Amino acid sequence: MNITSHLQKISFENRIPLYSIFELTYRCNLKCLHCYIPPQKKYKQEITTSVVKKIINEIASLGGLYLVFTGGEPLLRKDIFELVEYAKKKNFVVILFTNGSLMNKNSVENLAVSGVDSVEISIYGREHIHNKFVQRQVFNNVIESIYLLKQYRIDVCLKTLLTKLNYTEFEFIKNLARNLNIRLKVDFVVTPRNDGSVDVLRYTLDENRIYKFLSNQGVRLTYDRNFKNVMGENFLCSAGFNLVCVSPVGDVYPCIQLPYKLGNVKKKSFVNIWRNNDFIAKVKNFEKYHRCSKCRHIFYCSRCIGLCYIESGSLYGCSYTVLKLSQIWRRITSN
Amino acid sequence: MTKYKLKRGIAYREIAGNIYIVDSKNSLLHQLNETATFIWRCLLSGKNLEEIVHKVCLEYDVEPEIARHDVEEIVTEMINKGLVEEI
Ligand code: SF4
Ligand code: SF4
Repeated sequence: MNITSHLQKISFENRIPLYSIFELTYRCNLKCLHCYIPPQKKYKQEITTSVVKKIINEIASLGGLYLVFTGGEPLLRKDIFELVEYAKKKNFVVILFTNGSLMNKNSVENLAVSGVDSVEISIYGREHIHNKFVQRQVFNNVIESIYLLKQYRIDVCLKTLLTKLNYTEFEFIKNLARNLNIRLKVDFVVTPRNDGSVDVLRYTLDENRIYKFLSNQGVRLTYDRNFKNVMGENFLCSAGFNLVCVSPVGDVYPCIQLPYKLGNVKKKSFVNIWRNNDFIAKVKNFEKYHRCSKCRHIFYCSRCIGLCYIESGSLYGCSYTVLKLSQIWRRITSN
Repeated sequence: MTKYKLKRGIAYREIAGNIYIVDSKNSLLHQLNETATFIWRCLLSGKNLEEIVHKVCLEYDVEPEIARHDVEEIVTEMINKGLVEEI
């Protein structure tokens, strides 16, 4: 077993929050069509700089090592550079997810000084497609940001989501990443909004196209195609075991994709929430996965408990997207 | 006497008794063995080479010569891998 798998295994078994995701704000300057955050009329009070720092300390004390700052758009938080710098001082690997539209020389310089390890930027295609997707004229700013980050020797990674609206842009995106000599992560999973609304699923690429991308075009997914295939520990994902997410208002979730609230840091310490919640016992109650245990796709399913929970309302349910992907993997494997 | 500090950008954590170090610039993850972990802790608490050798002698009940050889070897390796640097 290599060191990465070993660390994954021991952190999972010992419930160490190796990976943490901080959604620092739900505010955003863009209006991406597929965004999982429901549009809000009024934003609730975000947790303060000192609260975020306190949580960072607690996660470090539990063994956390990788930390993501995301949003909304995290660069809308005035304390973003301070928080990155703080997490670096606490010896984390710090990754920033951004839409890339708000950066300028000054902010990139601040990021370089803060010591951020990597910046991941979302891109959806050429100028007119990207701008249509995010509903703002920002494509040129995004490209400029990528160049600036490279100029300051900050590691950049491009991310894309291929949907009905932009799958024809894949070649462009692939070439952009290749020409700039940066990594590219590709995904097909459109997530229902956090409030359970599934209107966004209409953008999901149809099955045959996803099949083609995965089987012929050598597209690799950003997440591990980790088939669960047997009912038991293998059936579980990282959520709540070695992965945790903190929302802008201090709610703690097992994963950014799983709005099952474990507690709120304004009421209890992070350590207390992490150690004392009912999530682990619930998801380990394997007898309750009635549908999965009878499912003919179980051998090909890399079940995302978050998607299943949002779509079915139950930790033991299924999801349209998960089912669809399982069917696709089944096709690929049997061919 | 030479002291050492973590090289900029290096992340690390003690997890279940072992030190894991991430060198994200080179996409590398290192795991330290027991002796290296002991030395790592000494380095980061600001001890110089002599002090670390002394600590290793006490902890592992070894002769100073052997301790010095091992400490130098491990610290050199950490420097060569870009994890720590001399202050
Ligand atoms: S496709 Fe749905 S029902 Fe089948 S194993 Fe996966 S999550 Fe369970
Ligand atoms: S809930 Fe879904 S996205 Fe989150 S860790 Fe599990 S499989 Fe991954």
